[in-house]
Amino acid sequence: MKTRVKELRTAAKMTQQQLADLVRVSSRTIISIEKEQYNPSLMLAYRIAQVFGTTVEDLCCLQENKALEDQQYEEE
Amino acid sequence: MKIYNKKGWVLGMGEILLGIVGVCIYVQTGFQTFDWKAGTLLILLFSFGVSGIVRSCSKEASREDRITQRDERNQYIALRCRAKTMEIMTYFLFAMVAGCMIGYGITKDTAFLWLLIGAGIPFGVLQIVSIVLGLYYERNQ
Repeated sequence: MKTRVKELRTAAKMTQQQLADLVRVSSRTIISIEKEQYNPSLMLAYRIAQVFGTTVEDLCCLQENKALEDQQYEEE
Repeated sequence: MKIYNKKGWVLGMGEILLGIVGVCIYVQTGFQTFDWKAGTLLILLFSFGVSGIVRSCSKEASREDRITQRDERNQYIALRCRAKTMEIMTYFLFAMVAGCMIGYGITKDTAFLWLLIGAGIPFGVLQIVSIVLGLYYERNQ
């Protein structure tokens, strides 16, 4: 799932480890989220959104991802 | 000396104690069965044990270990590994049971019967436990 984690993190001049420490996960989890290999849980997404002062919908590009999922569902 | 991670400390002590027990056994037998594999195992046991205790007494290291244990991605990976392992073991045992039944049917060799029992019991237990747990989680989740 596409997210804005990397974009917001680099704009805030934060390292992956710093973000991981703030939201109480390992840096490997942050790396996986940024590489779109892992979808964060609702609580983790909320914590990250709070760090960057945004909403979960904006952080996780929910509208965009929903449109993509709907398109894939139609194609099946 | 403050212990920040009790579980890590207990594991570390357990590994050291296992190492000590191993050394005592080899001393008692006069090191007759002692070889490079035993030596490597003892070194690993003591290394992990001491490392576990040192980490459990370090605030920063304990914090890192706690984060690693509670990390949702690590827990998710562990769950997927266990589920996949169960799936593979189930197919493997099923293949063994089927193979033994066919083998016994063709050869009438009792060895296949024993193998069938050996594979059949864990396969049966797996299926029953799977059904029971499915009912339990269906009800309680």
